[in-house]
Amino acid sequence: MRRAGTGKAASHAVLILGALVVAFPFFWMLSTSLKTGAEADHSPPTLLPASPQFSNYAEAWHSAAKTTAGHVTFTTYFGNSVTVAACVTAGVLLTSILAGYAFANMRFRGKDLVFVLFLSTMMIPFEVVLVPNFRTMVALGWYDTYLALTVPWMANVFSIFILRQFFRSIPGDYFDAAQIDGCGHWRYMWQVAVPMAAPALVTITIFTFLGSWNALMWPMLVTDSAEMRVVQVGLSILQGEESTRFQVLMAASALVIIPVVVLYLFLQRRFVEGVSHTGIKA
Amino acid sequence: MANRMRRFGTLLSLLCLLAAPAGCGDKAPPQGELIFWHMQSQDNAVLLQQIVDDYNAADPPMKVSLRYVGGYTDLFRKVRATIATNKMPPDLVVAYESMVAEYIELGAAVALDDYIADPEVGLPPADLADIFPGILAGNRYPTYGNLYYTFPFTKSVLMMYYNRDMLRQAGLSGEPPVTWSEFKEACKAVRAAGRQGYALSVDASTVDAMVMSFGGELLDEANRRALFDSPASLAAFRLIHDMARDGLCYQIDTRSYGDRKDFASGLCAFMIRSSTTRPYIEKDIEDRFDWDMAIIPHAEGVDPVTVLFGANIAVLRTTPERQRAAWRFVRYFSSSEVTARWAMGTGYLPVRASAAKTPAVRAFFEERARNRRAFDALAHARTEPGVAGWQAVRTEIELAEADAVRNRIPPKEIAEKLSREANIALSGGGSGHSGPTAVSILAVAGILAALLAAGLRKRNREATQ
Repeated sequence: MRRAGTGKAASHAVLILGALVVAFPFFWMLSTSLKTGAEADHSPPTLLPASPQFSNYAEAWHSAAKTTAGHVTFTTYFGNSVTVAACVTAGVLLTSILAGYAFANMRFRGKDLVFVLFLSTMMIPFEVVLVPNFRTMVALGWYDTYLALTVPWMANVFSIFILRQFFRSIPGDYFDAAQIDGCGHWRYMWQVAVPMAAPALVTITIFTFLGSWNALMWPMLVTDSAEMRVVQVGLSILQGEESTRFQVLMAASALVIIPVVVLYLFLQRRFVEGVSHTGIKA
Repeated sequence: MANRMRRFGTLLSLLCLLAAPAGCGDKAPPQGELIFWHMQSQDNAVLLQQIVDDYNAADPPMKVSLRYVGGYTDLFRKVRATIATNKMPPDLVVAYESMVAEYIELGAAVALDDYIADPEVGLPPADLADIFPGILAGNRYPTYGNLYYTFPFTKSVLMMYYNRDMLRQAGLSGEPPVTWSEFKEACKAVRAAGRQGYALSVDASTVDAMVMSFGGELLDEANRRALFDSPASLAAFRLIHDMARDGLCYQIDTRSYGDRKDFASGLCAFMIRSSTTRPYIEKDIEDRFDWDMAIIPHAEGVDPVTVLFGANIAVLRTTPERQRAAWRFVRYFSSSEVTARWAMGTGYLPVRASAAKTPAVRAFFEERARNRRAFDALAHARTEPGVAGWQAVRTEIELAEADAVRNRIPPKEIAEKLSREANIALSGGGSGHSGPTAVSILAVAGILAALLAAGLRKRNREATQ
């Protein structure tokens, strides 16, 4: 009994330590966001602010207006990021469901070859296709529009792979039973397979939303006007060439991660299920 | 389950509806507007906008519209990508010399000499002579016909910052070290007094300045071969290596401003940084201790020298009318009044001698002795090479400096290795430490795909059996 108790205490200690390691950057971000400029720049650093400076948050929110001559504030950036991340997530879910189902449950010539070709594109780094993709956007007349920010990211091979694996794990008996009831692939997919894949869909939603929310290089490349910028560009504005006001940057960072944290908390249970079903390491 | 699916479907529809009013369609720059891509943010951006507004208010042939495009790396990447499309390049871009060299190679940068000599929109010889020769020289590109491809935008010099109080407490006079030997001795004295000497930020420009301050050159006369295996370069790396070994300097986290923080907190006696750091240091230190700036030390028998850095404005190839209109703005920005205003508001240096004589600049110089140190150092400032491939060389220089600080490799080996890598980069081979090429990535991807296909076929065969 004592040995079991000691083991439990040890595992708790390890878990608490792990939780502290994970939580510390967030604590540091919040702590710095409430410091004065002198405290934020002090060496060695102080753990907590002497007197919390909530005004840093207001300053961070309005900081974009300075760089853009008053054209936009962080409200515009948030609006753009929410729109872009939502559209990309919706697009990825749709294309991944259709492709994942086809690869898992349908028979057609060259299926394995096409699937392998899809997978092989995961090996190509983003930087290699950056310029060709940019040229395509310009040729289509999509430069500095939401289309350039969203459409190229609406299909994701990793998500297709996850859903294919998930759909393959559903016993074929379900489809046989559905066929007896008159279902074809289309109806079976939407009414039986997709609802069963909810944990995987939640996982994809979180990963895609997060990836889109955190994107900087592509939005910076394909947009030009201040009105089309996203939150990550807003954060980059706060980083100066010779000096960065870390307290304002951290306040802005805290504001920027709120939607992602809320989304995660909202979908947390399903996300854990999805991870355990699909074998993904978050 | 069906209800949940309906909710999911509704959510998807809502998300799609959210996107519906999104701005779509081609957004080519307006015909009568020049697009200026820059990387200034916060207060500097406010001032730049005011300067542009004043220019636009004077009813020029084409008004200027500012676009913030991130840091230098983002800006460079974006300009390169835009050039590749042959469509809608910006009219004006901020760029370092090495970036401009690449734009010239791509045929995208416009030489300004004809505009400078133009009787209507040009610069009279007296105006051209008013711009500091060192600054002007940095905008000529010797490997490309010695033409002006840029004009100065954000100019600053590399300076040594020193804590005068700490030097005095260590038993020294409080005057800045003039030679590297004195610098080393000062760090030793400070260390003996229990404080830190030099907070070293790994930075290619600092190494370049050190090499020059030992009497060396970075490139040969033809601007084709790197000379990092020279005795001067070896001396620079030996200095860094030996100071790190003896605990006289310590490396801060790369690009962390850690040296600035340590210096402002009174933890170290020296740091070497751009003159643009001065206003920030001033704000951090307030009046807690006595500090000053000086030109970086040099070797005995070598004239003082430092690096002139900062970006320039380049005019990109568009149409003759747009290029001419873009030059008009460049000329306006380098006028005495505007350069003085820009320098006073940002901490960059005025590019004209006459600007230094304006009442505002004179009052600023008289306010504190250190306010004119960077300006005085301008006479000794030299630009770093503006040749294609130098961006990759900078990466190699910083890797070499990190090796020297960590005492991993003897200085001679570091200098020789750097020279080799730099020459590979200059010959168009990219950085010797760059990642795998697209071809090799595709080859690996192909092999993996073939293996996966074979595995899938085998499994399908087994399943059908």
